[in-house]
Amino acid sequence: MKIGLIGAGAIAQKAYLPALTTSSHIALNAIVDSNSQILNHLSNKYHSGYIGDSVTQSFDYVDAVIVAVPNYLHFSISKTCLEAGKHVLCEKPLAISSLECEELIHLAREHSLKLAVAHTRRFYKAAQNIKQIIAKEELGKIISFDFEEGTVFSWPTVSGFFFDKKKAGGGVLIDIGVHVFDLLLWWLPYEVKHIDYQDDNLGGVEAFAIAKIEFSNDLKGNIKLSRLSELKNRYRLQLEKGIIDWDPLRPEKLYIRSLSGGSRKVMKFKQESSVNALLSNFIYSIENNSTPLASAEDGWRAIQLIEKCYRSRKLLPLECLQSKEESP
Amino acid sequence: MKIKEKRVFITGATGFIGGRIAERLWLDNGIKSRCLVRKFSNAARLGRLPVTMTFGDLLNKDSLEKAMEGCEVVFHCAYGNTNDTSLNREINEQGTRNLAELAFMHGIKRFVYLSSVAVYGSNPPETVTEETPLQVCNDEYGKSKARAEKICRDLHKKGLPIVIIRPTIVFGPFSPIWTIGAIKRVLVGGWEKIDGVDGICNAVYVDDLVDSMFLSTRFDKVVGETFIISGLNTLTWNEFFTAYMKVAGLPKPKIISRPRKTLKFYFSNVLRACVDASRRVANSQIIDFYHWMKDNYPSLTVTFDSLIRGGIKKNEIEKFSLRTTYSINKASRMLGYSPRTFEEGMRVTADWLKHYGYI
Repeated sequence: MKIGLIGAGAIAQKAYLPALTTSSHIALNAIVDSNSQILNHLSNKYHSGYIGDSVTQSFDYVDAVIVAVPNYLHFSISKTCLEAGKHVLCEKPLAISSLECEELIHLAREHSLKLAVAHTRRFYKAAQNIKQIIAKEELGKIISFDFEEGTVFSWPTVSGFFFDKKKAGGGVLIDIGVHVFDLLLWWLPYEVKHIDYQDDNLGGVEAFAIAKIEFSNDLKGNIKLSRLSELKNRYRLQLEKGIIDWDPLRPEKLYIRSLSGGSRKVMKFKQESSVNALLSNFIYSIENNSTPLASAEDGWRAIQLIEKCYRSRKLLPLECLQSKEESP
Repeated sequence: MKIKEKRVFITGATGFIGGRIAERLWLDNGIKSRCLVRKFSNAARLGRLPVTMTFGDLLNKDSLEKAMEGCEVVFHCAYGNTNDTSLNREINEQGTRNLAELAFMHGIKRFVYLSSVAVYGSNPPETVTEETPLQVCNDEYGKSKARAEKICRDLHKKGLPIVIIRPTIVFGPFSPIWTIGAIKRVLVGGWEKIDGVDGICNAVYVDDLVDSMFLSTRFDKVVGETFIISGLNTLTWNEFFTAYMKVAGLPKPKIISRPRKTLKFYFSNVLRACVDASRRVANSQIIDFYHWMKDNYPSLTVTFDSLIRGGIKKNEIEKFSLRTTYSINKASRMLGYSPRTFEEGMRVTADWLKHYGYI
């Protein structure tokens, strides 16, 4: 499969390029970026058919593309690629609005192309195991959930687009929350009935967010996200017969505590790189005309939920975030 | 001069104090400041505000000139906090010189330099005022701040309207050492009341410091002046850390005698050496075991952490015994500086710590 990488920034260099160059099924035939310094650097390292700044010129060399550009360009570049008949694996979020997601989904269907989104967490064996435990009711019915994920932001972003609302679409909610919401909706395929959402955005993008979610079957839970502080980094699911704990930052282990007594059981999974698994699944879906494990529809559902959060947004009730009378 | 009417440039805005200046300018005055950003990876807190992040470096005069273009007030809070001492010195001294020279060239109306009481050295007298002579000490941070102050003063002689602020122990939301560090410290048994160790802490709440910096831009009579900024209360270190222990739901520390403290110190050293040696042999198993213990026996793990931490370290005893107080009389008189009580600052800080998941 001839693949093109559009966007060669931090995520491309940290995740996609290492994965693309180690896979035997994939030929990295094009690298596109607007930054000439990055291109110069990469042209010394990789020998692709095309290394340059034109998305359309790269099309002659590829069957499918990975779109790894800043969030606000996901829609326009994915659209151009789909219209040119290329399969697309888009970095998360699929787009920064659900309307854009819908248009991309429609285009992919119209052209009979695969459109996948990099919801890499689905490729963790532990996450797949959780889905199975819930679906098969191995620990009974789910009662509640409590997810916390937070580390101090240190992503080596070159352009700083993460902090520009128009370019990023939001802050920690769309950045990390899109993974969390995707897993939540994948594990618990119910309709969301109600959301209470608070964050610390003072006119830029939020760095700390709390969402209280209620599903149509009255199942309730909390999600807390931070890019300013270390949180517990624990996804806890309370079921009738036990509690599941999973740390998304140490994803190879799953902790299960039975409510009938005994200490916690630790399940360990041999885990290949989630990006490798994502790429393999994307290629497989093209070659076998199957639905990717992280499809565009999944990306759309996560963005819909994020939009609901932003619509119901309230400022965190913290005194240090409130306006006071005029400063001295 | 009212800050509200000014275009403001902040260095160190991705840090604790500069970040709070940017927040307060926006929240209280509706000012969208220009903020110098060297690495976007540090900018998550600042990204919550509608500020202009201007990419640049204190050591690159061209980038700095572009970044501060059109501004009238400068709050210079950046300092070198890398692992490289000579680079830190260069950032603090050459960086300050670059910025102050540009500020002078462009006719900046007020240049507020955030220094530190570290300029008085590690063993200051019992009462320190702005008139107290600076001490040359081994602390590179204090020495570097003193040199940067001199650079500012030299430019003031040429006409740069400077004000120098020397804060004490600054706590409050996002304070890396005296709030986040303090709560983490007490949570692992890092504080104890040692018999005879009862120094003065001189804590100041971050918003009081920011108030003083805003006040420094208000009056022409304060140009060229230096101000010590501390809190309202004369607080001991024991009271300071006990307040964090209360926030964390921990009991008050019991008094520990000096001989017992010495024993505890040696015991924790031995324990730490054992853990280090075990980790060299079977690191992942030890970490797994620790997590297992934490999951199944959380209170035992806290005790273990506390034994490993060993309370106050030997080299900290001198610092926590100092009885120095820093006078805020000059700031009160000339700036109208009026800090809140420690309890009030702590109440807001505790609320923040809870929300952000530190406790």
